[in-house]
Amino acid sequence: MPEASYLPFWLGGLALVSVPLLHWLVLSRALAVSGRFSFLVDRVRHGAAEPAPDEAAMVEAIRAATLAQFGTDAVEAPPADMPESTVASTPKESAGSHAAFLVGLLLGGVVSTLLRGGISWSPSLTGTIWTDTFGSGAAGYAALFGGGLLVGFGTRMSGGCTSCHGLCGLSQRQPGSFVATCSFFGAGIVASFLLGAL
Amino acid sequence: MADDSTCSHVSSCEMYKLLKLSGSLKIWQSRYCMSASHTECARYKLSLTGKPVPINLMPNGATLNVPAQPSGKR
Repeated sequence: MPEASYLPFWLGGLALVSVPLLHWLVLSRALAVSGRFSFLVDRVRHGAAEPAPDEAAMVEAIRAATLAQFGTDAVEAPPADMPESTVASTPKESAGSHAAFLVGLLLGGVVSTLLRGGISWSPSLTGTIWTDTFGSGAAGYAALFGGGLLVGFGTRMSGGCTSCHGLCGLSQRQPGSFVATCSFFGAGIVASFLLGAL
Repeated sequence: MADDSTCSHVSSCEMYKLLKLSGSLKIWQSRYCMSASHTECARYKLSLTGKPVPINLMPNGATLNVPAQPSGKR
């Protein structure tokens, strides 16, 4: 198989930075690729959300619940020292917009590949480290499938994928994203050394 | 930047938007959304299970009995 030719690393870096940044500037929301995918999966699993209750009725019901939970004093004297959140609430996007985004993502990859010489189907596993470790047969594919499942599990558990935490979360200085990024990069480095030692 | 103890779900939480509408409701934000206790929020905990979070679920686990709005008025 011919050696793959890649674009310069700095061009890829610029693209990785500019896409979530542009998304944030235009739509005031994080890119959330895995979040969009999770939304669509949840829609398929659980169906569309029930119609939202009337907002005024909700506020009144919450007020009653507030009285029941905290008493009259708390309701009449709201906390003055509460820190202000700088995280803006953003309106919900429709399932169609999530689907359009994901389809656009796939189409972008197809267009990029076509511009660079077309799509060629190569079903065999060719990565040297991978095939040396797991083989190029069924075991190699099983390990690949298992790895994909683990990535999906970790993404759901941590509330975001690698790009979500590494690019979007860190740029917003989210502590959880810092921990997540350290975790998956650290685990990746350790795994690569372990595989290299096998 | 949001405080470290702020719930990471405030930008998407339907209840958080409602709690911002009236000063008398902000006590929920101070007790849950903007505090380290957000991990005790029933909405937060349910969202971590991957299940959809009903809009009428309060942070303390109580469920509001509010009729759904007729379709077409959303």
